[in-house]
Parts: sequence; structure tokens; C-alpha cells
Amino acid sequence: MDPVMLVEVLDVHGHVQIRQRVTGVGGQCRIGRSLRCDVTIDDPYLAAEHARLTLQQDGRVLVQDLGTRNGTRVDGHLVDAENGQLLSHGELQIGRTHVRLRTEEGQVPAERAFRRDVLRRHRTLLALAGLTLCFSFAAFLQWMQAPGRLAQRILIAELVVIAGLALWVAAWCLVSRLTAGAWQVRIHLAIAAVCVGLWMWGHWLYTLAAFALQWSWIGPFAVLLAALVALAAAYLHLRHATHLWPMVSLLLALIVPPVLGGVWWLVDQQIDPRTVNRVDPGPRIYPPTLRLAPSMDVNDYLTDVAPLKREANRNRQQSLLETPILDTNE
Amino acid sequence: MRRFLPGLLFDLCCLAIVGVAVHAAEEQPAKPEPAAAGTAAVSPAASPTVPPGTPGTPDASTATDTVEEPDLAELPLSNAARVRLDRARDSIVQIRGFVGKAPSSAFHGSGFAVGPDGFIITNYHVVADAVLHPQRYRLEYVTADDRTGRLRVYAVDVHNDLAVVKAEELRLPPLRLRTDIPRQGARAYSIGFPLNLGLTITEGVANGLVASGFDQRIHYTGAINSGMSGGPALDAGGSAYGVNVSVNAARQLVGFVVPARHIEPLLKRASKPLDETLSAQQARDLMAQQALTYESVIFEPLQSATSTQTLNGYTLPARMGPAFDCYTTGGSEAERQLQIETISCATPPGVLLQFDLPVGQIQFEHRLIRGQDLHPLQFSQRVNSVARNFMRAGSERHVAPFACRDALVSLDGFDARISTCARQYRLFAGLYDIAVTVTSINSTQRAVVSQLDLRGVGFEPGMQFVRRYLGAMRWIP
Repeated sequence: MDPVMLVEVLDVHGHVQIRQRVTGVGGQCRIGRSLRCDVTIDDPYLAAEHARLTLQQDGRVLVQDLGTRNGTRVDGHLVDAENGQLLSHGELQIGRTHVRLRTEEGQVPAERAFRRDVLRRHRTLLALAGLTLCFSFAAFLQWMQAPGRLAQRILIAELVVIAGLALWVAAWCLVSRLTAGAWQVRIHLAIAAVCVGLWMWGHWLYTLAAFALQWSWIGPFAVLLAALVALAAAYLHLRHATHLWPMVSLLLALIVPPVLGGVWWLVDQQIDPRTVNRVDPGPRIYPPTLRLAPSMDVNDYLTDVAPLKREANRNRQQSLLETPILDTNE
Repeated sequence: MRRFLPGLLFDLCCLAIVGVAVHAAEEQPAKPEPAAAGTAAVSPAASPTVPPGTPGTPDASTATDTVEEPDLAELPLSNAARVRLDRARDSIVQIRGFVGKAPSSAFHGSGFAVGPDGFIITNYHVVADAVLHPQRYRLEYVTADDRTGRLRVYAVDVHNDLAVVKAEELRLPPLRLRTDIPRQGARAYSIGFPLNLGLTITEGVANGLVASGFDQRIHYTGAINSGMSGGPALDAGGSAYGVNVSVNAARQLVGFVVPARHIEPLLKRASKPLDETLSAQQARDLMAQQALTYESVIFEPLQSATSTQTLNGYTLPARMGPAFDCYTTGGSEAERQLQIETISCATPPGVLLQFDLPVGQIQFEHRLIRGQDLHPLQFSQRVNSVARNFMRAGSERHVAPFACRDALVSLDGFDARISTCARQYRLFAGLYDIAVTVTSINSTQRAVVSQLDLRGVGFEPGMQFVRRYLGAMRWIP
């Protein structure tokens, strides 16, 4: 059987731009800027006739540089100008262009199973659903808070949501365009809108559940859920915007929840400064019909409150450690 | 809307009248002083108006309002004041406090000599910093003829805001003390060093004992200004019937004087300088202990049946004792479709542990909320915003952060979310602020948000008061 080689010219994103097939022993493929070459590349760092690839008896390919100023590199190493270099497969750097060389010696992996990429398949639907979640929550919040001039306040709230989402999505689309070569607007919009919508409604439902059930562990659980949503959003954005391996994407995404948590903490500090005069009024209240947990007896509550003395003492000790009392002028 | 600030609540802030040299006088912090002072009402139970001619204690002057130096009463006012000032001048000193070796003073007040042992009486709040931080502050006196020297604190009475100081080398002619209370309307004088302007006398009228919060003070209608703290309050005969202590900053010429009868017991305790016998921490513990003994004054009168007030079906604690002043205000918030009526009650601060640290005070406020055509979710949202709209006073210098516990609790006839918080004073172990917020959850159109603040109390007595406070709440649909 005649040996075969495949010469593929790649773009900056690694996509194949030109593919040239050569068969038979002694079959050649010349690469350069000249129109006489088998593969013509408009790269100013290439010579008119830059390199020659010759198919050998054993199926390998002899790569020869044709005496150019910039030379030809295989996997980063310059090809010997006189003898050339034999290889079965690899990536050539010719000028600033990457050329992938394949022969039959290279292993062809088993076919990849179809990925059930729900996000890619239903990106439009998901984006619309996410936007609905965000817009409906903004309107709901205004309805709860502002009986007067409701339409105007809802409009402002929606504009704020649009602006926030647009900034976030635009940033990821840009990353996507630069690294993967496509904007993928609907995918990033779907990821952002669904996650933000889930987060907003989730937070409201958390306050409702905290009131209705009075479970003390629900607070940390809600924080964990919020962190997972942030992690999922970051991971999906990275997977669709870059060519990073899944594990690398996951590791990078793990940075996002603490960063977002830190931003949230800073904003919360500004809204509700943790001064010595701050008291925690407890979970929000809701209409009595939404309550499921029973009330405590007042005597039991006052018994429960007794350990506050110890906690206040601990806070005092902590405060004295952080800011000692100055008893001298030194 | 942050209405729980004591100063705004009653608009009755009194100014502790120690001068602070590092600040301009007009920048001195207002003090939450006795609310009862603003009303200037003489409590029937606490107004032992002394009949004319009532003799004082054996060591007191025999001076009375009418018999002494009648010729002075005939003089024009300015001459009488001049004579009083000239005769008292040598007995009065300015007391200055300095940080370390700094040449300029950090604060100043006044004092006057009493008794044969060279003791000088002033206010505790004038010398508080030097008592609490003896290594940081030093005290000096300046006499009328510009002699200066080092002062040391010998005894303090936090409750009555009095202190005894002494300089070993200084012997001033003592002022006579008068331990009975001048008759209402009697001519009176206050002397001191206001705003560092030199020795000054003001003329006014003594208006008898008033229940200034939990304490009794003599109401002096005349000018008392910053820096006159600790100066003598003289009657027409030149006897000191009290010590200048505070002034109502929001009103004109409403001053308060500590009765001189509290001086003698304090002098008996003055044997050695405090900084010789106590470390700084021991001095603080002693001050805290004195402040805690004040609790018997605060809480014991409240043991009887709790006075309540009923609005919108809610029965709530109201004027729980004679020292409380209560106000009820109400209004409609059309923007939020709410009607809010507010019942505010407070006692004045009990004692000044430092110049800017009043403790021993009870304040509470009930906000009764009624919704107007609101969805239950909208109504509960507004109740939440009202419940979060309380602000407390306190400086990071004085107090540690709060620790809080909250739960849904069943009260008499209704359920409520109750959040209880406590914090301790940094300098004074054993003194706590306790804050309780009660938010009812029994109705979709009516609610009460009640806020109780106890400042500078012991934890257990404070919690007993909280129990009574919660026990007095009731709802009848």
C-alpha cells in the first residue's frame, strides 16, 4: 500500500485552514509563498520556496529547509539545513505559521461519543429562561418594596439587570472570541442569566425557608449552594470560552467563588458596616401563614440567651487583643 | 428615621460641663442627661423641700437663705456677685488634665477646697481619665493667683459624680458646706472656669431638688458652661450647697448641682491617693463596681406592677417607673402605605463613667405599624425595614461588638421574632449593654416592632428586666 501524508496549515486558534494530501513513495509537498508551491501561505516570514516534505519508503517524511533565512522548526527545534529531519508526525513552524504533519504511523484514537451538551443544544431556550428569571425577580423585588411609581422603578431595575448581564457576558464573549475564535453570545448569556436568576430567586427562597423552618443550618447550606452556582457558572464559561483542559478549567473556576464571596463581603461591609453598634435582628419575617416551625416558649428562649454573657466576654477579650488599652504614653 | 438616638429622642441632651482643651467648646459631645431634667418637675416623692430656717447637719454652715448677710441682698445684683466671687476666689482651683508630658491640657474643670485637710472637691467626670489611666494622664491645679502643682485623686463617688483630690503642698481656705437644700427661688451662684476664660461667677436661682433621672439634683436656673464642672454652687451667704455637674445643652439656663450632703461621706473615705493603693485595672474594676451598685437604684423602683399602654390591640410596657419619660407620636407614611405610631420611653443616663460614657440607662421604643391595602408579602417587607432601622450609640473605644441570639417566641397572645444582643465594656468587665428587638408576626396588616436598650448594666439584672419587659407584652385581637 502506498504511504500517505497529510499536510495541514493551522490558524492561530488551531483550526485547519488548508489541507494537502500526498501519496506514494517520493511524493513531495513544497511549502512557501510562491504560487508554484504545492501549499502557498501568505506569511511574510516565509521564503518563496521555504520547505520541502518528501514521503519515504517507510512511511515517514523527510522535512528539508530550502536554505531560508528563518529556517524551519519541528516541535521548536531547527531542522538541519543539510540533512533535513525524518519524522512520522509533528508540528512544523514555518515562518509564523504552524503546519501539522500526519502520516499513517500516527495512532487514530477511537471515535468519541456524542456529548450530551444540553447547554449548546438549548442555548437559546436557556438564555431566554435565564433572562426571564432575572427580569421577574427584579420586578418582584420592586413590587415588594415600592408601591408608588412601580412601573418606573421596575424599568430602572430591569435596566440595571440588563447592564450587569451585558457587561459580564461581553467580557466572556471577548475571551471566547480571542481564544476559541467564536463569540458564542447565546451560550454565555444562557450561563450568566440562568446562574444569576437562580442565585437571586434562591436567595429569596432561602430567607423564606429560614423564616418558615427556623433551621439553624440553613444559612451555611445556602452559602454552599451559592458557591456551587458560582463555581458552575465559572466552569461553564471557561469550558466554552477556552481550549483549556476540563481539570484546568475546574481549578481556575474554583478561584471564582472565593473572589465573588470577597466582593460580596466588601459590598456588605459598606451597606451594613460591622461596627460595635451593629445588632443582628435575625432572619427576615414573612406572613404568619408561611410559617411551619413552632414558636419557643419565652422562658426557654431566655434560657437559651444566657450564654450570650460568655460570648460577650469572648468578644471583649478579642477586642482587647485587637486594640489593647493604652495605659502608658509609650 | 433613625430615631433611637437618645439625643434626638428627647432633645434633652445635657452637656457634661468639663472643658476639653483639645476641642473647641462648641464641639463638645452632647451627653444624654436625665430626661426628667428637661421637664424640671419636682417629684413629689423626692422633693424634700426644706422649710425656711431648717438647720443643716452639725458640720454644715449655719447659713440660711434669709438670715445671712442681709445687707448683700440689698445690694444690686452685680455687687453681690462680685462680693461672693472675691470671698470664694482663694478657695477655688482650676483642675487640668494632661496627656503624659504634653504641655497643653487635654481637659479641664474646676474644684474647691473643703475641710481642714487640704482636700478639694470636684466632679468624678473631670478626673475620670486620670483615675482610669493613671499612667497616661496627670492632673494639675491652677489657683486664682496662678500657683500650679500636681494633684492626686483620693476618693471617687461615681454614683454622685464626685471626686476628692489633693495636692500635698496646697492649703486653701475651705468653703463652708451647706447640706440642706436651698429653698426654691433662693438666690444662688455658680463659680468655675468656663472655656478656659478665667474664674467666672454666674448668678441665678436655686429651684430645689428635682428627680434628675434616678438621682436627685438641685435645679439651678443660671448659666453653667463647659469647664465649670466641679466648681462650687454657692448660696447667698457664700456657703457651698452643691457642686456644678451638668447643664441641659438643648435649653437655656437649666443647670444641675450635686447636693453638698454627698461630700462629707466621700471625704471620710479619702485617706490615701488611689494610684498608691490601686493598679489601673483595679481602679477600673472599682469604678465598674460603683456603677453596678447603681443598679439597685435603677431596677428596684421597677419591681412594682409594670405600667402599660394599649394601641392597635397591643398592650406594651410604658412608663415603668418614675424616672421614665414617655412620648407617643404617630403619623402616616403615604409613600409606603403605612401608619406608624411610636411610643418612646427612656430614663436619663445614670452615671458618667467617663466624660463621654454614660451608663445605667433604660430606653425602649415601640413602633406600631398598620398597613393600608398592602399584600401580606409587601407588609412583612415593610415591617422588616422598620425592624432594621434602629441605631445604637457606642464607640469602639468603649465597647466590644454585640453577640446576638434570635428565635421565634410565643408571647402573651402573639408570636414574635425576638433578637437579644449583649456586649461588654472594654474597660469595665461586668458592665453590659443589652439590646432586645421584638417583631410581632401575628397579623398580615398590623405589627409591633419593639426595641429595648439597657446601657451599662449587670448581665443578670438586665436579663431579669428583659423578662419583665417581654412578660408585659400582650395582644388581644
